[in-house]
Amino acid sequence: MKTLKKYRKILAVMALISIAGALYTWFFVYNKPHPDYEKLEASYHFQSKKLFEEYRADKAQADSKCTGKMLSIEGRVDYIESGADQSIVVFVFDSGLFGDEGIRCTMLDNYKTIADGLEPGASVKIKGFCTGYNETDVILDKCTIQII
Amino acid sequence: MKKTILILIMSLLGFSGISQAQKYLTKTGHIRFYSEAPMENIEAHNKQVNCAYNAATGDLVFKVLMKSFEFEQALMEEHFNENYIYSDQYPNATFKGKVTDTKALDLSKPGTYDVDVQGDLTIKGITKTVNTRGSFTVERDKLTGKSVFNVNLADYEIKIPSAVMQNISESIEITVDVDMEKFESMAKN
Repeated sequence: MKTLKKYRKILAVMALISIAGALYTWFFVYNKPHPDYEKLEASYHFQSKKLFEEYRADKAQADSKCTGKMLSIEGRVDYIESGADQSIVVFVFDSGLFGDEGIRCTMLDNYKTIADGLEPGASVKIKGFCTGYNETDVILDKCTIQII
Repeated sequence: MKKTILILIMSLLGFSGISQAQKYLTKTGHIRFYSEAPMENIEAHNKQVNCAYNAATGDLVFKVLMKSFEFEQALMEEHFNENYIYSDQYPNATFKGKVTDTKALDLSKPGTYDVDVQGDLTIKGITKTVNTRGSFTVERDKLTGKSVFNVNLADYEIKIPSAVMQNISESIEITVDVDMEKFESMAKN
């Protein structure tokens, strides 16, 4: 009888551990949230033109340094592309097959209103997740913006 | 002689004006990929796609940053970049091709035209030929391109571990939706 009770206890503990493990995996591994981009610190800071020039000069090296990281840049805005689902702040440094070439910064939803209200020439500081250089533009995504 | 040179220069300028007017571009093209598997469906979106169409030649070019694909689940996004696409090593995907039946498309007449597209799709540094059917909708200075086609993961040496065979389809549906504008109408504000 005692042995049976002991087995039951062991089984109950094992069941609890399994349930806890499954819940942990479900919530903290499988459904772990995206990073809070607004709060992430930038790994590097650039003047906007300098960032563009780094990618232009050596894409592989700039990819290794900047792509997939949070960056912050400062510069004067050339124009804003405002759409229903995204606002993009654009810095232009050249032109080519795809028109203007420079840096394109897609705003987080909370910062769309600030970006949409900017005038060309405004000085800003932008922090965003760099997804790379597509041979025309450096792309920063999930951006926050501060007028300076 | 001077008159001949002037006519020649004007002709050249006129020609370049025409060829420029026949280019359509976007930098906010949308590509969706969708995997349907027994255990789960996976979907990702990239709304930062460069696309250019040259109506004079039929050339169609796409440039895609792999890290710009957004997934609903962070873990899937991580696996996509780190275990399947290796986006640190291969940050870009490209499509360079042609609309093969440009005569079917009348850019002067608004409407929707079905077109055939053929070209080279490069993912993970591996290039394969893609043939697909799509449509172009002509609307004043805008050209909207749409297409849906499938890509086999094995063609790009993307291996699915046996543990997640039931979670990821071996054939991924790619949906392309690009709203392009005439090149000159993309000038700065």
